[in-house]
Amino acid sequence: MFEGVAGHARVTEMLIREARRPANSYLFVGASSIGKATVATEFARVLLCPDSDDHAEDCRSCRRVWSGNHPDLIEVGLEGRQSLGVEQARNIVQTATMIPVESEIKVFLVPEAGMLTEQAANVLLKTLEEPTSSTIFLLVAESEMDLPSTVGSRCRTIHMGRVPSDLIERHLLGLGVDETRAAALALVSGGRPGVAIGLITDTEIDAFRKNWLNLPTRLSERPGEAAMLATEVEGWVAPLASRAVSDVDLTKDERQREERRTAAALMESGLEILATWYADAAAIQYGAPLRNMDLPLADLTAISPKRAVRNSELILEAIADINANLRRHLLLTNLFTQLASG
Amino acid sequence: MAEYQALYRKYRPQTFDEVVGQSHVTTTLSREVADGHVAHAYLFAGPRGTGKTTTARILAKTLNCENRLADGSPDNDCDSCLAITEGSSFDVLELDAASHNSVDDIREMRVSVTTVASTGTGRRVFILDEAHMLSKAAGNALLKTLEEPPEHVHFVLATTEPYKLLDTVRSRTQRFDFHSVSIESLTAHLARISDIEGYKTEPAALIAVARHATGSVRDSLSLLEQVAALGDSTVDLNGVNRALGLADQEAYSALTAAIADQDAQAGLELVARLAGEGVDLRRFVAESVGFLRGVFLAHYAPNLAEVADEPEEVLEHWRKAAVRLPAGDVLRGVDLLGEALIKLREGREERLMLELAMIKLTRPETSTDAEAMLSRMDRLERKINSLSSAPLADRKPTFTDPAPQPAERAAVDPEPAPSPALDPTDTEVEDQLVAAAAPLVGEPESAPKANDVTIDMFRSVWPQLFGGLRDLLGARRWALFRETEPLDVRGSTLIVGVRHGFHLKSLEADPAAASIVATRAGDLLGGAVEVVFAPADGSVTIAGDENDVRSNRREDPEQEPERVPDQNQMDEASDDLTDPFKLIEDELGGTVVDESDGGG
Repeated sequence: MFEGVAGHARVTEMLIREARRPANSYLFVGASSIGKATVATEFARVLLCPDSDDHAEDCRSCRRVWSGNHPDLIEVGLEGRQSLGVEQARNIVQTATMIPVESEIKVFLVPEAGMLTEQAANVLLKTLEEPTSSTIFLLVAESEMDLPSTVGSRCRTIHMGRVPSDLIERHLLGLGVDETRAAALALVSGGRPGVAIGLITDTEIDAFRKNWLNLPTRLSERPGEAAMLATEVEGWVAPLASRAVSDVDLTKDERQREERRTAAALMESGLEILATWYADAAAIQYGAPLRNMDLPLADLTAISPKRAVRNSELILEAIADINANLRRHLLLTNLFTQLASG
Repeated sequence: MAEYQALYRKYRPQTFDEVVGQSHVTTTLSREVADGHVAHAYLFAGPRGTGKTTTARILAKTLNCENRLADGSPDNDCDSCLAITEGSSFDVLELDAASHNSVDDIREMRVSVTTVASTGTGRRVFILDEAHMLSKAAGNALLKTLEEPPEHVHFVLATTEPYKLLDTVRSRTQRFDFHSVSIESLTAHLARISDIEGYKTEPAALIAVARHATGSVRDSLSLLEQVAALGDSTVDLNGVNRALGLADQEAYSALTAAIADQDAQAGLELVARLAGEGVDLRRFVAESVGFLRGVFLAHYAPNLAEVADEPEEVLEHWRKAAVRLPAGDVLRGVDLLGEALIKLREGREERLMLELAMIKLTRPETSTDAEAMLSRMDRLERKINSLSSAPLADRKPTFTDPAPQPAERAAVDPEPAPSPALDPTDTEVEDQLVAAAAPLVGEPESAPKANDVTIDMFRSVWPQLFGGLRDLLGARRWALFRETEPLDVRGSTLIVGVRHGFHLKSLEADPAAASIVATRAGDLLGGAVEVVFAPADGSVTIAGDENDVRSNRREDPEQEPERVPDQNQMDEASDDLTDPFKLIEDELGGTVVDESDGGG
């Protein structure tokens, strides 16, 4: 079970046991593109499977979950809206009272529960707590903070972390990706299998990571140069993001959204790669294990641990700001200037 | 599968007595019912999972119960009680205020309020759950009814956020505040339910579950169920740790040691170990904050058992850590990790965040905040005190601290410094090498020292040592180590000659390399040894570069003055040790400005 999932062994082991006696509602939380919805969908498949043994290949129910048309798996998506409002929530409440079409249970999957408005989340409360015995809710959100705590309290919360890069690498090998590529993809993805898989066929993965890791030696205090670097950095991310979603079958709107999301994830990965450079610079001077094993040591030791820590923190702050949709180019320019100044 | 009910639903209390940890509410309510003084509108406020809806349902039931018990509880056996438990009663209406929050909904309810109960004497009870979600207009529409409902009608408003209710609504109700349930009550409750469910439980595991539920009965039962599912009806600490992705107890001891010894390497190695084990790092940060809070309590609360709901072994763990960690460091830890926790909630990468917090925690000089400065001054102060109370010549242990830290121990109880006859040209290099080895010699070691290693022995095991290191060191370090040779032996310190200056620098910047070589060499020579790198040709290329060598060593630079090098350096060293200005400069990286004349 859960073979299609990269990493998350602790979570899947737990869910396999849970499936025998599932709770009413589950909330999957963790960073973007780490596989939350994948795990949730797999869990739904296991729950809906008429035979609890795993026989996915020849199981009609399982095949239909995968192809996205199981009548008792009700996915509540944004479908072009900005948020999930009271109307959608009331729909869920109403549908939840109906009996399943053909299985013993029906499963509601809300892949973007974080987009529920506060009103809508409150509408769901009573239903989440005491749904009919044949209803199971699977909510997915990036953070528990995206939902009122009263929702989290009614759900069994499954925390999912980033996937260690060796597990992503192994997963990619399983998909037939060759060794060097798998390693490169795993490093670029920043623990997000979703990003790594989207980029499997991309030829510029190595360059992407190397570019970020070369940044520290190219930084300059002059704002003009920092601005040019910022432009260059944005140029690394955008084409990669659009290629990553080019294979997926989506409508134009969905594609744009997906592309924006991937670009944001890649920018975050890139900045994190940059932050690990500085973390390594501090680590090496304290004799601690490094994350990037292929960096020129002389560069790393050229910066004081204090500055390295400060720079790493500056980068993490910049990530938060970028996620808050502030002006990206300005932020990057500012960041690069700050990184260069002693 | 379909019949299965979550524990928190299965064991929803059906009498006032069964409600966990809210006796201040339930005794008052049952008295009111027994005396017949039931208010027409109640407001139940309190955090999630504390029993608001449950109590409201019991109240509704007992008001309608045909054979109400003397203590005001329902008998749960009459037709009315059974109907309410089933949710099929006409007289108890549970309204979800969140999805029925419009004026129209409330108007509908007002019509319903005027109808009589299905049984002649019955009461009608309206439970408005999530009452804070009523719109303003809906709240206003309710006001008159809420103030003066018909005789047989009672309202119960339940909410987690009472301040969101209109003042006018609040003032028309009798308010009961539900409290977070204490860990003892939760633990007892969990034990009771585990018995009924036939779970095999460990007391420590139940306490851990209760602690993680943060006062919510519902959360605690969810977690209990989750752990029981994971362990096939066995609930043990290991299961709790697995269900929550928690680190083992050892991790917290390692954290304490890393902070106390200011050992960034150990701290980062701890992070790497936890990440490799699949521990939920976010939880680890949260748990560490809790742990450090406990250590802080252990510092200042003599009656620790009374202020903390924890089993004795946890308290003991805190006390031990408190002996090692000064209170300032503990507070700083709480601050730094708390900050990291907030950033983790925003979705930052767990490992990176934790690594940064760990570096700042173990190396206060890397952070600029005032607490870090205070922590450094604190250490400095203790050092100066210990120095002035024990003159260098006859230092004996005078610490009040029950467990002196290794570095301090090295200072008070130095090994006799080796004083080999040296070739004058090599003196400086040798001094440094011996100085580097001295603190390590002074540290308590479990393995016996290999004191009588000779250069011949070193040379004879060299090929074996060299051959085995390739895999141990890994490709990167191996590339640096490849062109080395045995150079000399001082006591139990092996001096390895490195042929290229750059390789030498890199190896010195990477204490892990020396420790790997030392471990391997120790195995071959049958005793603990230290390894130091030096130029292979004996030339003094690093002599002028003293600071580099020092700052790159594993030992903390600020503990430098406590090292007791050989006789040649004794005079100079003693100046370092007793000169407070020099100490301040070393510790705080500042310069001492003499303002004694102009100041005032």
